Amino acid sequence: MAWLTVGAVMVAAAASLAILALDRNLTFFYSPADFADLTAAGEPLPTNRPIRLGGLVADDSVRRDGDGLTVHFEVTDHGAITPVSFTGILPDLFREGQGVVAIGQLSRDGHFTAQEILAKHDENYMPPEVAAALERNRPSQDGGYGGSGAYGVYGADTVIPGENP
Amino acid sequence: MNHRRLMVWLPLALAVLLAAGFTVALTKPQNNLAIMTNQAVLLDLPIPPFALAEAAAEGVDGSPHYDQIRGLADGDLVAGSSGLALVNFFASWCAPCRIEHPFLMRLARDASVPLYGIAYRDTGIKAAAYLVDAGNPFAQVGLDPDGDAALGFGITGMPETFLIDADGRIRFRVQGPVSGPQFDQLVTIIDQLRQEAG
Amino acid sequence: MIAELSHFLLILALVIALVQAGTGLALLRVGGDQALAYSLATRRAAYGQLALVTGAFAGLIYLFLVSDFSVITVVQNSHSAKPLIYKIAGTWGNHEGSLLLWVLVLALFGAAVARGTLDPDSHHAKLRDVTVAVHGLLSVGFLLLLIGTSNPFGRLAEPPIDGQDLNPLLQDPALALHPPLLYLGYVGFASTFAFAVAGLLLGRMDRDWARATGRYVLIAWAALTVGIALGSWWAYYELGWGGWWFWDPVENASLMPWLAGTALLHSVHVMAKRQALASWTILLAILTFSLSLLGTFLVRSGVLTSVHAFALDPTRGMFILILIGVTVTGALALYGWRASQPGSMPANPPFAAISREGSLVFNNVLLALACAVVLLGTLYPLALQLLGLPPVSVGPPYFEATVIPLMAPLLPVLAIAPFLPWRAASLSPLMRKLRVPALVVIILSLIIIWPDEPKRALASAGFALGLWVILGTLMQWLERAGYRWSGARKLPAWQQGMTLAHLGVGIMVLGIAGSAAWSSDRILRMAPGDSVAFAGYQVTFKGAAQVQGPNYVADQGILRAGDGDQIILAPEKRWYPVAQMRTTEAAIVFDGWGNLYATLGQPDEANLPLNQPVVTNVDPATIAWSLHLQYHPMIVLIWLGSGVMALGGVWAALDRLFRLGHAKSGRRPDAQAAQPSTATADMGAAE
Repeated sequence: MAWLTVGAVMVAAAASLAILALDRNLTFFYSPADFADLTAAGEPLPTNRPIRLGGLVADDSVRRDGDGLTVHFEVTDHGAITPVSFTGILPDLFREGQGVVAIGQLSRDGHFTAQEILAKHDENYMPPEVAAALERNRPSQDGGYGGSGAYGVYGADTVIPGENP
Repeated sequence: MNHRRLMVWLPLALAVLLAAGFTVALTKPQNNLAIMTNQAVLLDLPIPPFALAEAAAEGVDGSPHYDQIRGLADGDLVAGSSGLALVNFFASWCAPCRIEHPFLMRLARDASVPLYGIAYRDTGIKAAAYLVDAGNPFAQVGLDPDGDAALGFGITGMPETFLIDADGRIRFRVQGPVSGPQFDQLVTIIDQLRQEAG
Repeated sequence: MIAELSHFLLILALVIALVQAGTGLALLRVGGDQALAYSLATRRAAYGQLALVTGAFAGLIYLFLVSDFSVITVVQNSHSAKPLIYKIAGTWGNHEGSLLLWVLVLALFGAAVARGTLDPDSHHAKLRDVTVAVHGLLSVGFLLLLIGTSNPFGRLAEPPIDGQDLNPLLQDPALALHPPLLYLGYVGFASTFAFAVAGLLLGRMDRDWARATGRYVLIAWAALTVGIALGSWWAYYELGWGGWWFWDPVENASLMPWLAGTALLHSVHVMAKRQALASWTILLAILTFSLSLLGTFLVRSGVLTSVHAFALDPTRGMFILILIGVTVTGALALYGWRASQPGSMPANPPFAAISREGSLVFNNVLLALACAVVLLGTLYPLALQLLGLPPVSVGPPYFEATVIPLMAPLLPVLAIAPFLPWRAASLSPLMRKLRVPALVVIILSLIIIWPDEPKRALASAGFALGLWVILGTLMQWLERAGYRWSGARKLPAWQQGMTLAHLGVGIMVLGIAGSAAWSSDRILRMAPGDSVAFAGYQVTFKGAAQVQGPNYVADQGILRAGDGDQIILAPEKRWYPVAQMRTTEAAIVFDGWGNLYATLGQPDEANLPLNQPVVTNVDPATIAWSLHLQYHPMIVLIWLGSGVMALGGVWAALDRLFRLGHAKSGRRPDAQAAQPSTATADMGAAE
């Protein structure tokens, strides 16, 4: 019985540890349209915690500062646009017109400062959340939600670890 | 010892729960798996405007096969107005395209629906050589080297095929090679749409 | 021709696997002379299956070697211009081929279990044969999956002139070896799973069961350890990010069976020595393989959001799910049925909280909890998605906040536990013995690693723990050896292996803590000729130039560092024209203490678009680049420690304890393990 009690206490401790950590460290995913919706509804933007922003890098939006390290670009989902800045080295697959996921903080004026830009191993791969967000916000007139996934054809092998952060 | 008796079934219960969750995840349409086969996307929407170059526009002379690729614009698909049209995205580098190629040739022979090709992220030389080599089922072909048209159509992978009606609206979409069951399905839908139109 | 022949060999292998399962399971019913014939048939079927699958695999390698582009798998994953070794590695660098490799390793382990001469009437032999039969059942399932949904030998009607390339990131020696080793680990746990199911079917879950299983647990665990370490090493130098673990779903998928397997190898040890924890060990054997299946298949079936999902065909995903579901729930149902029968499991001999058993239970509980916490974090986004909630992701902070507190308490105990005698122990003689290492650790910690910054406090504590593990383990080994070389040589293999593996843990912890505490990291823009002081070096950027590789072109930056510029760093940005892919190659130089790690960012040239294939049409001497400089002290200890751990696992697997029908391990025969040992901390008596 004593064993069971000790075991139960350890399990409970681990469970509460996990729940606390989950609560603190979950990052929610937003697309530019989500911000637009929130603003339109008069609700506050998620400025208090790190979030993931996903969409397409808008064409002709990328420019660099004189320091050669800071990059500004716009993320779009065919309607809304969120300006993003990032200081550091962009991943190899970062490109205008391609899907992107940025992790960072949103300011009250709707400007996003990225700490990390995610790109995948495979240029034909679109992060599923981005694909889903683009699909949700697909325009009714000019068509298209862009990007490209793969039918497992030119996909990367599964055995490799690490989505390139 | 009773609680112990119950405890030994706990792992099984958890495993069944997990398996059920995975089953739902695998069959649920929101899943990225299912996005691939989600027919709802773009259905009944008008095709996006596009104008694609002919192979010779690349400016490299000398390939006798360039006449295979004479450019394609959205107007070409509607202007035919024989009723329906098929648009196929293909590329010389795409292996599944080779799997579906005999089926496209068959479509071109039997179905009497004009078939248009868009060479996605390919060069004129390679795409033309591919068509000469494997046979050209297309009434007209355009080059989409930067994937602009593909973006408009919302291509998620290669190959993809769109069925377009006389109003220039997308009525059916095949993601992945048109072969086997997809081929039969496509033919059935073509027949249905024909009958609807009278 | 070769493709069709290989395909035919696979179908034959399926038939043979059916025979293997059928005759083996029939042994549950028949006895006498008939049993002898059945046993032979089962074992020969296992050898036959191995031969057939090996033939098919050799066929696939051949097709890749000669670049037969009429085969779909080859077209999609190979290219005639690819270097030879990557043509071979391309064989398993894709879904179909890797599944074939999986089946091959499964057949290999099946044949390994089948070999060995045992008295045919003994229950050792029966356990072995039924285990081989369960192996056969697993082979049937995976061969059906392979032949039915993922045939690697499918042909194309219109063969192309050349193939698509293997993803260039995967063209790497470490990664060529990574999948086979991971599979050796995953599939090795298939053997332990088969043993568990056979034990449940036969109703014999005693110390002999544990002795028969132990070797496979250790081999699988060692292979998985090396496999994971190679993957981590690859991520470190190939992704150009400088991290060695990213808590990606795919990494977690290999970590979970590793954690469960680590728990299993300790609990199997308790069971082999004391016949305790039988029910838990059997369950753990089933769960470890279940997590391996989860790792290899569910991650790639597209259920979990990952880059690597390639089994996008829903039929295939469903088949995989059904296969795993039947395997896992079947085994767990069998477990529930058997374990709920009174007296089916051997009774646990009583033991005190402070005892060898107690410490190993502590180990098992913490490892199992860590595994559960990783599972929760990996599946949580999926669960929310199923409930229709907005998409979330669970990142490294979650895993760090949960796994580290669960694993850290293992370390102080790890150094003490091997000193503890079975059944019951007293801590006071132990404290006397460990006074010296404790003192050394405290003094060293104070001198070297006194946290000069608060953020380093945690890493410093980790460093102290690593030292403590190493010193405690060495003390324990010396104590067992009686402080004599002759004594050390006479120690049984499992003790040598354990010592080595625990040293490996200590080394790895030093690496983790050291690299976390003292690493430097700087992103900066450098023009040719610029010089910067970094991590004790003066680093000068000499400019970038274009270089030509076998199947790529690259912009190569040259950096010089050190006295007299003797350290040369040449990071590259590569462009693979066939795969149309761009990669970053980090330059890494080990200076004896740490790794100087440099990656090339973007060229600072306004006219050049970002990340275009070939960048430098402009005079390279004039272009500034953004650069990422990092210094990771002691980080190599992470991989070195993993290697030492795996070596320890292999050494321990050689112990005679795991050879059934032979004398027990160690200097003394069987008797004393069942006897109550005295509660002294004397190692001889404790053993």
